[in-house]
Amino acid sequence: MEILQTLITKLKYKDIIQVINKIGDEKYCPAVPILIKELKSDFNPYQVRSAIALALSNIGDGRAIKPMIEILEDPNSDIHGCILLALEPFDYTPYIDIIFEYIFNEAYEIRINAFVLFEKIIATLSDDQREIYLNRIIKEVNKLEDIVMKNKRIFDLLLNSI
Amino acid sequence: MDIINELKEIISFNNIHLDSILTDIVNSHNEEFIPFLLDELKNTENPFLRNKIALTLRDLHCQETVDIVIQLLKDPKTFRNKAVLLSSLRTLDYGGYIEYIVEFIDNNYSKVRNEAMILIEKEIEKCSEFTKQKLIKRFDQKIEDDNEKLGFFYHIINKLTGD
Repeated sequence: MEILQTLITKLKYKDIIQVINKIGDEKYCPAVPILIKELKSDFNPYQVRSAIALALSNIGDGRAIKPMIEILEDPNSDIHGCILLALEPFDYTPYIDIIFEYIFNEAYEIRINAFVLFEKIIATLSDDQREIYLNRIIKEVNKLEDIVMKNKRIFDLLLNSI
Repeated sequence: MDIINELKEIISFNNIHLDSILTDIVNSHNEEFIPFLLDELKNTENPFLRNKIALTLRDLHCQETVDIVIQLLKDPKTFRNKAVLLSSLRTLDYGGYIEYIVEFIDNNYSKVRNEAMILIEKEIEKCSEFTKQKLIKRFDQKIEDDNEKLGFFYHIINKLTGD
């Protein structure tokens, strides 16, 4: 494992990504603790942390779930979309509230990835849970419909002024 | 100058009479205070005071306020005060900044969006054809993006209600 640690610190990041992809493809479990440590390190560039998330997803070791959720809870992280993608093979049900909020994210990729996870567990939701999620979406829909209406008004005023 | 010193003291101690004094300045159209107020607007770290002064300068129709307010709007420290700062532009000539102001239609806060809308609507007739075309494109894109999001949310609602 020391070799892996050395590789991560010494190699150029394009080469690191190749090594990480290989670890993921081979489902090499002993690498999980180091991958988790490096996943959370801000010193690693975006591409390296994204590759690590996907390798952890391929390996499928449950130890990766909590660190991934912690990243979702950090509003400053830049790999939310990738983490949502990486969570797919895991049992993320206890964290569905956190995941659900990403359905309202500004970034298309993040919204879709969150929805894919949410859709998979819809059938398991109780009626009460359904209502809570439904109310949350309806609130967002009302807000957005109001915004669209106001923007259309200005858009029409602009069109009529030329 | 004595009155200005008195005002300085009131401002520095966050005096409860600040409101009525600023109102008096506006009512008497006393322009003697403008340089001092502009300086305070630019430099104060007190958001409450900044908002009050911006609105006072607006009511005094002080055009020099515009550049300072635009700089303040760009400053992250005013993230909670964007709506008031935008409203302080209402009576002034902000036409040169309309393409900057239009970016606030994406803001998370409805008060900020509404203030930006008021400013844009007021300015439409005065805009050049070129600026109008740019605004049309910006609004068109925004409406399209929001409609796409709405479609996505309707889809989730259908999934949740089993329709």
